[in-house]
Amino acid sequence: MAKRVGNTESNGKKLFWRLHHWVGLYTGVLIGILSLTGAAAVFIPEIDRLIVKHRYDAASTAPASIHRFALSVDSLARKYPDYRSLAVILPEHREEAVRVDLIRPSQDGAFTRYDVFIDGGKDRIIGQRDHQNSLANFLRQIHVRLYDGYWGRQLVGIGGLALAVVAITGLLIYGNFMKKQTWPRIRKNAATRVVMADWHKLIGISAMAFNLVIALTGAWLGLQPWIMRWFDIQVPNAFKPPIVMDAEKDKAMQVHWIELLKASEREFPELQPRYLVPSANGSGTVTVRGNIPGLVYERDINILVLSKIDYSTIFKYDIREQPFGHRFYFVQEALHFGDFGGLALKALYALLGLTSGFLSISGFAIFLFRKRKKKIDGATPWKTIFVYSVLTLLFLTVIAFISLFIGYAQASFAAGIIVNGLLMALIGFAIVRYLVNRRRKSSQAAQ
Amino acid sequence: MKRRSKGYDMFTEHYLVPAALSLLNINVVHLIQAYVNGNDNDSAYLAALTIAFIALSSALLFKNQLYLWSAMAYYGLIVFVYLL
Repeated sequence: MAKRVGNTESNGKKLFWRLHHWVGLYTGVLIGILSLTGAAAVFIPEIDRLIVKHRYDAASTAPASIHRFALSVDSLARKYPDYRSLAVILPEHREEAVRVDLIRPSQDGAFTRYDVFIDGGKDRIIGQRDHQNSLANFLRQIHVRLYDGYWGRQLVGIGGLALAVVAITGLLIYGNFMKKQTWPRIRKNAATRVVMADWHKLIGISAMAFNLVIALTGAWLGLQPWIMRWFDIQVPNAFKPPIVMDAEKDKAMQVHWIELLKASEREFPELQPRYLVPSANGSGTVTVRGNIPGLVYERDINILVLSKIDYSTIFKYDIREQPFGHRFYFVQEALHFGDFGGLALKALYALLGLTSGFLSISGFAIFLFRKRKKKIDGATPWKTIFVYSVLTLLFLTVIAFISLFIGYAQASFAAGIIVNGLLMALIGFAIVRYLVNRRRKSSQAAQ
Repeated sequence: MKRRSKGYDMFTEHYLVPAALSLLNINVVHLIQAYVNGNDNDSAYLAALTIAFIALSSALLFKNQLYLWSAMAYYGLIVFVYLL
């Protein structure tokens, strides 16, 4: 009986090890890319702030935190009367420029998104850029969807699931692999494979809880469109105000921004307004989106919808007053990107985020060294790892250059071909490998 | 308790150390968040979190079973009280 229990336990460990091995091997490159791009993605606002300040020379001369932008916004609305959406983004720091997120039809029938910078002291437009081709957008899109517009986001979600599987199975096989070894000992004089295995176990178990949180929140964020469709889940703070006037009349209505911000402070004192979005569809409203300091939730999810006529409240969404389901929905992105503890937390997130990249490289090294030890493969492991790493960095660099200097659409097209081509090749390889092994086993059994 | 060699405690190494490391991961993030967003009224809470960080780190250093259990229970209690 004891022997049977022992066998069952051993079989379980073997299953966990195989899962850890194969899931890690087939998704290692994806996890590595997501680790590297994720470590950079946590600093997107800071990187973008520096670029806007130095590359576009866009800063505010406002003496206090009160910014003026009414004339600039009005001139933009008159210059581009066909705009689809116009949102004012208030700066987080006094010296930062006020931004306008402007979406308008382009010549090819699609839409183009611009970032327009306003000096909040002089109420003057001081620059603009194509939002899609910015470095901030590259960093976000490469991490969120690998620049593949077809199903890159879902692929990233699958990468999150894979990381969760390797983290959990890694924990389950940890004891078996440590045997008499103590944490955090590294056997420095042992063979390279053993040293890599020691580092793999040390880093893996030390950052396991962090990686599991990143994996599960990443899986949710990536697979969100599918899950929400399958289970008919609605975005919790979605609100559509009724149409009360003609769209053109709505666009032509002047907004008294200072009055609007006063009304926002009166109706929702804890809200730090970030986005001010005047309606253009005939609802006659201004939507104020922002944050409540000190809370661990996705950015700009608190909403106050005010009437353009008298600035009375039409809708208010305060995350603190919402049921658990809403709060759980909106905690995911904050936990994933570490956007709730300033630069120190972001630095910690970047450091711990890079551990999953290290684990995919060290795991691959262990696999290659083991293969060479068994004389299955004669190639030099480090050379193979170097080639994979260089190709990965080359992919990221080429897509970045195309996106920044040619255009987002072209970069997305190129990334789509590379990502889907590699995916097809990987699936094809896995199927062929499985069939060959099965045939070999059956022929061995027949003999 | 199964001991494999002198000074080596399998239960501590295979179970308590991973558990304490996991709590330490959460605690570090929690601590930074509290320091960055906290105010003067939260000084007792900040002190409790800092003590939890020191306790978990030093428990991992000394690897004493009782100390590891205590440090984990202490931080668990802080989180429980905070959630309430």
